[in-house]
Amino acid sequence: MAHQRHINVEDEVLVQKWRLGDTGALDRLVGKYQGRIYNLTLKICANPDDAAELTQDTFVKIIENIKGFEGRSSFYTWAFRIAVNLTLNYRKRKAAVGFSSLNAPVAAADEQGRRALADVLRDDKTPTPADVAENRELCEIVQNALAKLDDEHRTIIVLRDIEGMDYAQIADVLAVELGTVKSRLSRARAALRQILEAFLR
Amino acid sequence: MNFEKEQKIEELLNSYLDGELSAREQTEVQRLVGKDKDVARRLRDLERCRLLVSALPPAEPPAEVIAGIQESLHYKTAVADGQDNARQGARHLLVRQVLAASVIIGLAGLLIAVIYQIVGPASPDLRASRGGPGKMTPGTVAVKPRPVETTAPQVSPAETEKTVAAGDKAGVGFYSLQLQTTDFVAVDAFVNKLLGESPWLKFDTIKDNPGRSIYRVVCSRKGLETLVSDLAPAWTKFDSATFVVHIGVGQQVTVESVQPEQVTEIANQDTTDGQIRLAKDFAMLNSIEQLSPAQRVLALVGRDYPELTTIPRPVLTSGEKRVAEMPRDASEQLRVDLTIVVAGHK
Repeated sequence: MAHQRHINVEDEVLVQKWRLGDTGALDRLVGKYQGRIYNLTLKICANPDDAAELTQDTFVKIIENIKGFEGRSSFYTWAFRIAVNLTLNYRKRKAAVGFSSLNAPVAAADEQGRRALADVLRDDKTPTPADVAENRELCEIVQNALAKLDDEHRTIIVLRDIEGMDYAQIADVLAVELGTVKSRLSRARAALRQILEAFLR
Repeated sequence: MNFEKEQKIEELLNSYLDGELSAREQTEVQRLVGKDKDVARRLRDLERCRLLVSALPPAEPPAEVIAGIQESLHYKTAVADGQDNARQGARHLLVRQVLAASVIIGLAGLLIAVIYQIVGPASPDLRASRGGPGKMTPGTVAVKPRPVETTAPQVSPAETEKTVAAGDKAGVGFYSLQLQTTDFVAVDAFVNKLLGESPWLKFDTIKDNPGRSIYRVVCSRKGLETLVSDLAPAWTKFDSATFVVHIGVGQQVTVESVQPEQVTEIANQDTTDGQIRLAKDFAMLNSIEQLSPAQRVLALVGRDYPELTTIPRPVLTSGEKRVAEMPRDASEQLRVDLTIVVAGHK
């Protein structure tokens, strides 16, 4: 599949307005993406306080660099690239000083959560997303499993399965080739599957 | 090989799930899944794994996070705007400072020039010591006492004292007329011939170097008037003409860019004070004329049209009488001691 550019016309218009001094356009961009960027950083770093700070830092970076934004990629992927880079760099710094919430041992899943997970993974009946979302214990297990992945795999799964980016957008955000996205995502899902299976043992 | 094949199938199944395959690739995957139960199971596992992640409920950013972001953004925007404004302001301030400094320097220069024109020392010798003789340039007016020109005729102390002591009555007038020219040979020959053909005056010639001739002329005021009148046609040949009125020991007034009629008018004043005042007036007038842009225009168009830049001479309205009004016989009795220096450019 050829690499495609995904331009959100509304975003580009808002960016242009913002550059022309329309601060309302900036507010709209922030309002549109603050929740998504917060979720992205939270899923990658698994710490609400860090996620809040990283989200804030992301928008500060966006403002600082908007003049250098040339529109070669969409504002959406450009903003997410900033968020991912900030978060991964932050994770590296934390790992370097030997402190990371993701490195903490995962608490043993309670029985209810394990049963729910077993049903999803082994039952012939496929659950709906709502079934999963309403099961708090199951969600905790999945979040713990995500936390057990390495940063590279966790990031690509978050971008694809939570943020819903297509492969071209992921390649844009991570600044990698499309083939790398395919192989990395495949390995990441395989690793996640193994971790989830481990919860059932 | 098997591992690579398995990996390829895994990637294919992931791409299939994510809708990243072409229609033909999708058909192939569906056929493979239909044929191979293991592939079908792997696809189902992948699908459920993906479902588990994608079904995670999104976390709502806390209100304080949103507020923090907004606050941070507005602060940053304000700071960025402030930095832009500060940079712009600094540029404007710098421009204003430079302009103000330029104006102040200009005004100070103008003021200094005006003051210098009034009180600053300048004489041909001084100019020579600064850079030697040159073209007729915007001159300075010397009113400050300075030693008598060495090229001036040697006058006995008794005569000088008598001149100075004359006060309001001009006795013997001692003057120097210094003519600078690029056409020394022709001008010197002209002056020499003119003096030789003027029986009403006495003159001595001093040739101290090949490029300079000094003539000491003694005559009456009327004789000076006639001499200057005869010299006038050659005036345009002079690159500079400087007239010096020697007031007494160490005192003189220098009139640069002097015109023939100015020489006559100065010398014809019947008092020493009158000569000094008129010499100063002409010095100032000539200096202003030389400073005027018209001189530059004249320099560009050549000296063919001097009338274009000639400033009308002032009409004296004070009590100083014009010589023309003086009794002819009284004028004739007065002596003029004039040193003419004709010098060529080196």
